[in-house]
Amino acid sequence: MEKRTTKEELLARAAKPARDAMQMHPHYRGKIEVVPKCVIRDIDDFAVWYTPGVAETSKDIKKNPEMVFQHTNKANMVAIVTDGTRVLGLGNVGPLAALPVMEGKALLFKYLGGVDAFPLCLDTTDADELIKTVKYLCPTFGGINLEDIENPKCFYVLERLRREAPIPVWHDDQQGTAAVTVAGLINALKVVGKRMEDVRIALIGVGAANVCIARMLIKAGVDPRKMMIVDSKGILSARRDDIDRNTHKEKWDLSRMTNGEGRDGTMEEAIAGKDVLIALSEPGPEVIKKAWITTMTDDAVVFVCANPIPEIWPWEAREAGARVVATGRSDFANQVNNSVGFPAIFRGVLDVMARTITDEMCLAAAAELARCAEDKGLSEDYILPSMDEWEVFPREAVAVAKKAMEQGVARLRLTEKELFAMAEQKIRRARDEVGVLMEKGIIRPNEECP
Amino acid sequence: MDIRRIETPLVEDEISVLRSGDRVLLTGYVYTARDVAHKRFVDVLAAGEPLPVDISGQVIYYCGPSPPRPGRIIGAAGPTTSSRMDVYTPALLSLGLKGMIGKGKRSESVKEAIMLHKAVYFGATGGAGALLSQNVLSYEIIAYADLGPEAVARLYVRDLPLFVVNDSFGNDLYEMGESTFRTT
Amino acid sequence: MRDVACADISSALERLFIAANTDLPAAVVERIELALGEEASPVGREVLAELLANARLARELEVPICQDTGLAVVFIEVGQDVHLTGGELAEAVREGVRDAYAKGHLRLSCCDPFSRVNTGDNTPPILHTSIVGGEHVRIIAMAKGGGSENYGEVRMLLPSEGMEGVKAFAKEMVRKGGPNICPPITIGVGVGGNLEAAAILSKKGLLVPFGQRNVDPRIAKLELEILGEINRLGIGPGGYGGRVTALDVHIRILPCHIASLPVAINIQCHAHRVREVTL
Repeated sequence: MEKRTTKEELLARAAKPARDAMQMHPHYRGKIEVVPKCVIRDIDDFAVWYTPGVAETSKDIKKNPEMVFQHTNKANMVAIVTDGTRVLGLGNVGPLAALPVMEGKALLFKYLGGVDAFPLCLDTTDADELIKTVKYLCPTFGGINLEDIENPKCFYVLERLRREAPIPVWHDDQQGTAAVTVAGLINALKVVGKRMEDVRIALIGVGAANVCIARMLIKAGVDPRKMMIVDSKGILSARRDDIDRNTHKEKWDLSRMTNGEGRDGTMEEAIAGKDVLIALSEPGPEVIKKAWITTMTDDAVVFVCANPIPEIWPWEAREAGARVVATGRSDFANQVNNSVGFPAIFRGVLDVMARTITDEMCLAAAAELARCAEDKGLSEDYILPSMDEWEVFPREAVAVAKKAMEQGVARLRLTEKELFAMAEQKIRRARDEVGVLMEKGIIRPNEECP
Repeated sequence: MDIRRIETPLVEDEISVLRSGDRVLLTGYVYTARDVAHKRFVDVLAAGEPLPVDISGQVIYYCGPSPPRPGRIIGAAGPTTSSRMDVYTPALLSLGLKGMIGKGKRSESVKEAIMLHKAVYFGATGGAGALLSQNVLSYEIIAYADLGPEAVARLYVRDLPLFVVNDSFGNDLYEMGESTFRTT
Repeated sequence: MRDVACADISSALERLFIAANTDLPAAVVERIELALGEEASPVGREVLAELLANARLARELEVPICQDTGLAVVFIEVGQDVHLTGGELAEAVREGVRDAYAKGHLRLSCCDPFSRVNTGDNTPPILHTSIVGGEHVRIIAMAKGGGSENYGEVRMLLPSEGMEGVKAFAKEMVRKGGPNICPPITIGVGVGGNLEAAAILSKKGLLVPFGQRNVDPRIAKLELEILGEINRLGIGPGGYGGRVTALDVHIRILPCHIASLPVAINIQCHAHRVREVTL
């Protein structure tokens, strides 16, 4: 049973990491740096790594472009690209202010997935300029992770880059959140004994995450007619004439496909009678009222993932009859945490040099993530693994790699054993590296801030 | 379902509003032509001669109707598989053809030509021959009468029910639809 | 011994093929109505509604359901105690089909395989005759269009490929067909026998009523599994995307050679035009 707490206590609890961050960041002046990967025994090695030796590799790649994956780190390099227009819960803070957040993302990519990720905060908010820039950057990277780009621009940018970029592109806020949420739902439904095909779902919020979640849920078998999606003006329906098809195409499509009864109404009316509630909207705790949860069906599943305070306190949702509750916070049970998604998914994508990241690959990741939790025993309080369960990452990477091979988008074909060994080795290496640097005192602890 | 009413000849302003998945009721003249007629078009163009029909702004319906009952204008008038006409299509699009009605996927080069020349490909429901025939108000053979049901004919249609399959922006309803609902 | 006149067989076939092309069987209409309730895609539902309206109009106006009025496939079961009189059976069948396609204003879709010159009367039909017990003649008329037929195939699988191989084969053909097979389709699967036996079994599979499962429980299970897998492909009505790609799957099996696993897939479009009569 989670500890009850007040908004003040929660905010106070969040204050400590905030204080620490302001102290620790200036101490280290950045969280990532460039470190050599090859031996440097003496000055003579530079004749191999640089001129004149490296010219041979350049010639080789000019003749056989695929050799770039052999001669460079491109296969393991991912660019984290943002324009800073929708950073965490802060909104449009711009590219400079986004930099520490992107460095943090790079840290998670490396530590959890062994992926070398590099932040690129771009000084443009124009979608077409963004797209052009990312395409120009592709030679250096094995994949692109779009991050914190505002909606609806992010849909257009992702769709175009998926089509036009020669390397896999994905948007963690969309596909990453969707993969982890779907994984949680798979398990939550197992706990309450309901089927994807049968459930009625209310989705609150039509941001990047929920639009992608809706799409993934339909692919996972949910009947779109049994879904209701709610934005600030109410339930999406074909009768809503305030949705512009040209600027908000995804929302428009959803308004046509979902809500089979064609009902208009408020959030409260949308939630009534539903089996599942997935909210990714305004921070709470009063956004979703306790009374509304009581109008849901028995054994309701409630995911309230607003940042930093969920739309309703999880214990209140439980008191109102919800049987499985998840939030975005680590201090409550069932954290829907993107960090158990993107590092593993990219690991798998890069290890088979997949050309793209398909929805099916995301669903395969979700299914494996769900299975990892299931193997440990599901319960109302345990539907998703946490970041510290190291086995999750190579397992999920392998599932994604297998799906890529199955779909014919993988450039390499490897056995399951080989894939697992590769993923595990790369992740372990990243952990060991940091460990060695800390042991040797090259990364010093911050005495003022233990 | 939202329905758009459009008329032939098609103009670019109208075409650029259409998106894959749109429900459309088409009114006006359309021309039927299938494989052999298309081959003859291309041969005629190669010989430097004009086509028997001015296709600028027009719509071609890939259809070979069944024979009409006496007193009827046309028999069953459903679409035939469009891909057989793919190889001939980019040339016609470059000459100003603005719309095609058929069933089934088009090739990449046709889709590119559709985008390049700002045209649109509509789907009529395969096997709904009786229904579609109801929307045909006149039928007149214009060229290649020797081809029988495969002749080039001019049809006046009213509210012919269609779906936009390939819009002028590169979207494809077959791909979108399958991608949304495929769960395996 | 009971006499049955070939002339009666002819006129029965004439009626059956005209009816098959204009009057969609009630069972098919019902199955499509059910599909309308099952379909989650708005475009898909619109297409299904069109098909139902089309069936109604075709019956009222006596216009063919589809302009591809098909090749004439005929199954005749002649009872052992029947004495056919007044001509040869094959010629009688041909005449019945010829008359149906001429008088019924149906399209002539039969041609020489190489020159592609039309035969002019939609004959010869595809005739399957069998001798059964009793003193009746059962006549089944199926108008089979070219679109769906083109995505059928017979393949000699490896015995080790088993049921999974049959599933994969079916999925492959349906994916290849896509919109061109005019979904929602019905799939007939013939497994075992010989190359030609499997093919005929697959066509016979298409004669089984909707919802009727194979009596062998493991085959019934396979039928439902294939149906589920096909519908997960997301091709949908008209190929525009949706949950209802196939209305049913019927598998018919026969023992086969110890070294073989012949499998035939026969695809039927939504215009499931089958009519029968017993004389």
